[in-house]
Amino acid sequence: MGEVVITGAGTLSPAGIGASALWSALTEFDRSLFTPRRAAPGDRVWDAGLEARVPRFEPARWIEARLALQTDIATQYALCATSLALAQAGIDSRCAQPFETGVFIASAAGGFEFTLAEFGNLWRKGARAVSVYESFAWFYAAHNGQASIRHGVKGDGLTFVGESPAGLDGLAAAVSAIQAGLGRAICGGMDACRDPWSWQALVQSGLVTRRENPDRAYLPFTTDAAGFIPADGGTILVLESAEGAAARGVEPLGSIKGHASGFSPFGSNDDSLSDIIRSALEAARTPACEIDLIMADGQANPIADDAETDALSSLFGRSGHPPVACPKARFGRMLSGGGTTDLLLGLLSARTGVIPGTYSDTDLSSRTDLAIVRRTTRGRRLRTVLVLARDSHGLASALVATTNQPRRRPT
Amino acid sequence: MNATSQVVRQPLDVAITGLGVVAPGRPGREGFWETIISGRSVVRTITLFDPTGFRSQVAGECDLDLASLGLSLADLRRLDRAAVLALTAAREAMADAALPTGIPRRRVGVVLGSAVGCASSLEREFRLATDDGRRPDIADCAFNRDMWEYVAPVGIAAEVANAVGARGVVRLVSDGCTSGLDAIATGARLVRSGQADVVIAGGADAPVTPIVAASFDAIHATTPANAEPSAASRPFDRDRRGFVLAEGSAMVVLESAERAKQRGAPAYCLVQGAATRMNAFHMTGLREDGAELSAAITAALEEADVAASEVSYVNAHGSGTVKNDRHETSAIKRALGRHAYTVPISSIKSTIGHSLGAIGAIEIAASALAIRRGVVPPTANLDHPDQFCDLDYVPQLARSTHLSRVLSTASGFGGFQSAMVLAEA
Repeated sequence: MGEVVITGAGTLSPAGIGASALWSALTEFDRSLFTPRRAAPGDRVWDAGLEARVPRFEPARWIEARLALQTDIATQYALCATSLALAQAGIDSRCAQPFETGVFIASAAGGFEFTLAEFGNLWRKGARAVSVYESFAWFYAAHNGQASIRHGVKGDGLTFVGESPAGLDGLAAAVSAIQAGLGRAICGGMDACRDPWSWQALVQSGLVTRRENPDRAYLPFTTDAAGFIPADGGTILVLESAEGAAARGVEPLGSIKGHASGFSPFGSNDDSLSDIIRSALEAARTPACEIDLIMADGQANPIADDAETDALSSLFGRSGHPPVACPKARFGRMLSGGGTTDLLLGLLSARTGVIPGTYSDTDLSSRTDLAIVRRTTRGRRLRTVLVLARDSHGLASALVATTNQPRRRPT
Repeated sequence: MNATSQVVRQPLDVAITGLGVVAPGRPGREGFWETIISGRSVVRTITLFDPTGFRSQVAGECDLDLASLGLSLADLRRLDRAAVLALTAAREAMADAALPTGIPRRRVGVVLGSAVGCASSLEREFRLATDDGRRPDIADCAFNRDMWEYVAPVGIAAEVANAVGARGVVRLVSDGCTSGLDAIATGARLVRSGQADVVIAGGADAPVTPIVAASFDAIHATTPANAEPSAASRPFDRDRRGFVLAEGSAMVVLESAERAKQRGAPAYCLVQGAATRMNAFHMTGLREDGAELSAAITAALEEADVAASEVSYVNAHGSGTVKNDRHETSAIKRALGRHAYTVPISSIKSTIGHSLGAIGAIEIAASALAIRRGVVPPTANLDHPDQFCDLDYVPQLARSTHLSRVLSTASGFGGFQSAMVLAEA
């Protein structure tokens, strides 16, 4: 199978717009990016806790006014990130050869904020008050449809729905399509969880911490783990064949080596999670001892964290633990875009030798034997990264990527 | 590279060895087949909610015998209707496949397609929390602790995985109205690539809810022909006025042709090729030339290594909108050339309605049954063909004929255009 590389990335995160904003925030400062949750008027139930929103996002700066009118904020994020990724890849905004490019952007919640407003219109004013855009703005496929139209993409299209694993699974489908002859692919995941219903739904699920100290709130792999903080945003990537990138004279960010996914429900007490990781290593033809960095899932749920610890220990214990990073503990847990954001951060670590720290407070003691990177470390020689992503149902994906290119700064 | 050269030119060779269907009309797989070959529509006035005030008031609804599903009361309260449909179809498909014991659970996957996920549960929770919208905010409501399952509906696929004991790849595909077909294509590729030995794949949607109905009302996509529900959906007919919303699910059991043969499982058919192309045109509109759907058909035929002239039946998307019927007719002509004028083409949507993300899988089930039984289901309600739809759409009456290669097409909001080629085993 031909080598598939990443040539462009666009990230929206609680640090702002662009991968460099997130990378700088994580590597130049040792603090978290959480802020007190801003309650909407009357939202008395969810006025406590922390949130992680994309700051200062102005749709008019990134997309046409008519498009802003017919899209949910999550789709607007996705379109912004896609533009950034295409620009970094050096690809024209309008595809010159439309059937050569495909779209594989995942989504967890689609355009739910848009739909909430339409629920209100329907039940307060009647069926005729529902927006003409509702029939597609809500769609989980809205990111792919709008990206296809905006950039003239007519190749393959596929939308996986779900949290972090869905983004990596979409990336893997894109890799397969490229290996089957597709020229390039736009993939990744993007969500917003700003609306009070999504927020409260996550809180009610018991997955979200209600702690209010930003530096001691989201604490994966610790005895104080009490849930995560959901984050807006995600990362869109441009993939293409290594030959295609070389022919265009584009320097890749990294190369996809292998991927596997599966179902490992919490509390299943089996080796299904380690099987998934092992399958990814086998697909990548990479022995465990060649993994230089693990980007952990880190839900900060004791059962999930224990399962992840056990799986990693069973595979890496004998070969010596590579460093395990979980920087999302400082910017929040993205939904469908979490896996591709971790992948991008891992590759940036491999390119720069800098691993962003997991916690801003170093007093915490890990209850695991994982080599958690607590504070940002520099000067590491890294090349190959394992990314692990799980969701609240137990769906899991593992992906191996590598870089052997000269260092460059993120854009 | 052109539009059609980006496929692996080796057929997928994945067998369908089990089928389960929940659709409007008679229950189960056999009931479904009797319904779609009858030539009589089972569309009716909506009963799942009060449609007064809606432009379109007809739908294809499933009459579920909830007591026979084997689900606890707690499960029935917790699960979205789409999940109940999916579980019912998956159970029938698994029984039909009669898989041997001992398949490692890690080698069994689930891929489900759904366009609107848990729409009915989301709307129910909104209505409860806001007193049917009368409250200005939702501050003091007691939220359902399963609400996140409804917002991010991948849990439907996880429910099916738990029910069938799968621990392999589990995915939810949401490509609008091509979701079901695309999910089966995704499942077939998992088998073909060796990532799974068995995949339970299909689609499920339960969109007969006020918010979904209103959203299609708003763009006049659904028919306002409410007076005679059974005549409301009229694909390729000059008097058609839009599609009819419906619900349902179909699940298939996929395994390699070789594996099916080894265990002596009679396959309904083989999945030989599939492709999706985006139209980069409009979220709901279609170009009349059908270029992108044609590209998807050609790519699917190339992967299947099937010549256009070998297609013996086209199970069309045939939604019954003017735009779709003309777009699809053009696409079939572009892709099949002169053969388009002789191959039988039909749409089952006039009989059971359009169940969004489920219908692509239901149409694959119909195609698989058509191959096994050598019968082309008819296009009900096709009385006066549109002058721009000048192909053989098998009006009214089922037709007996040997079917060796069947093409199924699907078109979805967002610009998704999909095709799948099935072959007799």
